[in-house]
Amino acid sequence: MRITQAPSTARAAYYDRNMTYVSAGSDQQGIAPHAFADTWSYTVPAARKTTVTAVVNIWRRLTAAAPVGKVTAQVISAGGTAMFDYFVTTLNAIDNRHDAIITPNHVLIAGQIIKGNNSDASTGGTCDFEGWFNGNEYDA
Amino acid sequence: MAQNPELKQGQTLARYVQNLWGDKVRLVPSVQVAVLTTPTRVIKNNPRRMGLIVVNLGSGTAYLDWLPSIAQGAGVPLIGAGSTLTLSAFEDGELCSYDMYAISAAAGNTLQVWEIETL
Repeated sequence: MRITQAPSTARAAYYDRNMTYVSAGSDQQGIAPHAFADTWSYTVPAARKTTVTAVVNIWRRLTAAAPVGKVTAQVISAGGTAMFDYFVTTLNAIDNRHDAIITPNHVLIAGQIIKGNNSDASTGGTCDFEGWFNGNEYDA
Repeated sequence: MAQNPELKQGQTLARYVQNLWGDKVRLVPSVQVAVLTTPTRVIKNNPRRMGLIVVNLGSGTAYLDWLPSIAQGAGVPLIGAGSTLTLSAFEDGELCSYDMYAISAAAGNTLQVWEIETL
């Protein structure tokens, strides 16, 4: 068996290595108080890498709580390698909000996970939670 | 098995091949195989195959194996942009005749495949 690999003058840039656009997220509306829970996730496939190009983490108070508790919403890379946005609040007025739109340009390797999760320790009241990521996935 | 005892003067290579492999051979017209992200059969088993040429025309790496259980990142890597694998019955024995499978991390990689088989 003979194998002749193409001459390697320089490795192809990531955008020429079978790049595809990837995205994941969730848009929850009118959510009642709840324990900490993952709402979406994305795992980098084997033999691939992903550059996270945009992260969105939005919260809005829809109806007031009584009493309000701690509300958290975050977008992180599982395993603690990166925290893209972390938000904690006890704001309780209707239309209080947190808007985060971030362009991190962070590289995830095969098997790493980016996910969104949130919690609301209030009593009553509802919130909107919206979290997304966009990225470029390509051969490792 | 085709026999041609009356090879003409000058058909040196034909005579050499017939002596080496016992029969005349022909080139099978090439085929293109789109490699998927799941095991993709590149070529079927052919007991008459004496030679095989596989060229990766894509930009990504295709992995090759002779079993359909090939997994991502396993097998013989053939990087893109013209990398070539060749098999010969002379060197590789019956491996030359087996099914071959490929897999790639992303779609879009095409293999160009030629066979040399006996008549």
